[in-house]
Amino acid sequence: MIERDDLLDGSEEPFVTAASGYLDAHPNFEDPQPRIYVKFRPAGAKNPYVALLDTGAHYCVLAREIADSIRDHLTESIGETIFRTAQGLVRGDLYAHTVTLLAERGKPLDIDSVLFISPDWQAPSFLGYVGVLDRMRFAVDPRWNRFYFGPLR
Amino acid sequence: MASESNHPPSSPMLARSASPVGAGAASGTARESKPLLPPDACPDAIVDEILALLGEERFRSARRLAEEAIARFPEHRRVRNAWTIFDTRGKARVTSGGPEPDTDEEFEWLRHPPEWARGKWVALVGREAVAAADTLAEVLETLRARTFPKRPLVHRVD
Repeated sequence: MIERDDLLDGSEEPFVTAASGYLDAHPNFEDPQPRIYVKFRPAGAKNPYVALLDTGAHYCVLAREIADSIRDHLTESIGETIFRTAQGLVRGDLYAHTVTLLAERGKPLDIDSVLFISPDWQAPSFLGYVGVLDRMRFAVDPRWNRFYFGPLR
Repeated sequence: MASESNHPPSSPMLARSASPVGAGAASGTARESKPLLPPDACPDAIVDEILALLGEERFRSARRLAEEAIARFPEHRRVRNAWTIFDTRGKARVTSGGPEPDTDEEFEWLRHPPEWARGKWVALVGREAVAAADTLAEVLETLRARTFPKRPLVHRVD
């Protein structure tokens, strides 16, 4: 039997600090896909966007046009690298940049992330493991389409 | 995370005999206790090597190299920048700002977008598309001139 304290890591703090709804279908795909799209806002943007939550992706990728819209807010590139995708190799740059996960319950979460940005990227944005998901806690409630998140403890 | 053994070195940048950071990082056979960096390692070359390893999805080797690099060159700008890729501690912060309205209606719209929206960037408030255009820049320009009860959710419908 798991005790309540086991789930709190010995502290009284909750596992996460916020929750938001997520989209599990996407107009880009004709058939329903077992995918999760969450709301985020890169620093420098005023409006929220939707990104695929992808634990299997090595990087967090910002859609090209979104990256263009916040170009003035990007700092110096970390460097150029290659991203291997199902569609082939994509060359782009890595940037340290803050993204915010928007909360419908609790408080938003700012994440000092690493984003892959490429002029050749044609797909939507997604939040991969390296750069965003590896620096936060998260959980999913598929019954209510809720995405729970918070900082690492 | 992809297994490193699935991605043998193939890039000319990773020609180990000429590697500025030693043969261990390249072959992936280095023992954990053996430093990868030779005494005369150049920090810029190390960063290039880290990025090349990432390009081959060899994250473990890249991280190990970055750990050694940041320990030896903590003030070097490019090394510090590269280290941000791997340094996950304290990078997420609960920030100010209250909860935002839910976007259930926007999501419902996105589940069944009208045909005219295909190929366009759209801005949604509830079930209403308050702006739509072929480019994101046009949509953002439209939004700048108006106010809404909540921030429009922006997305490209392909």
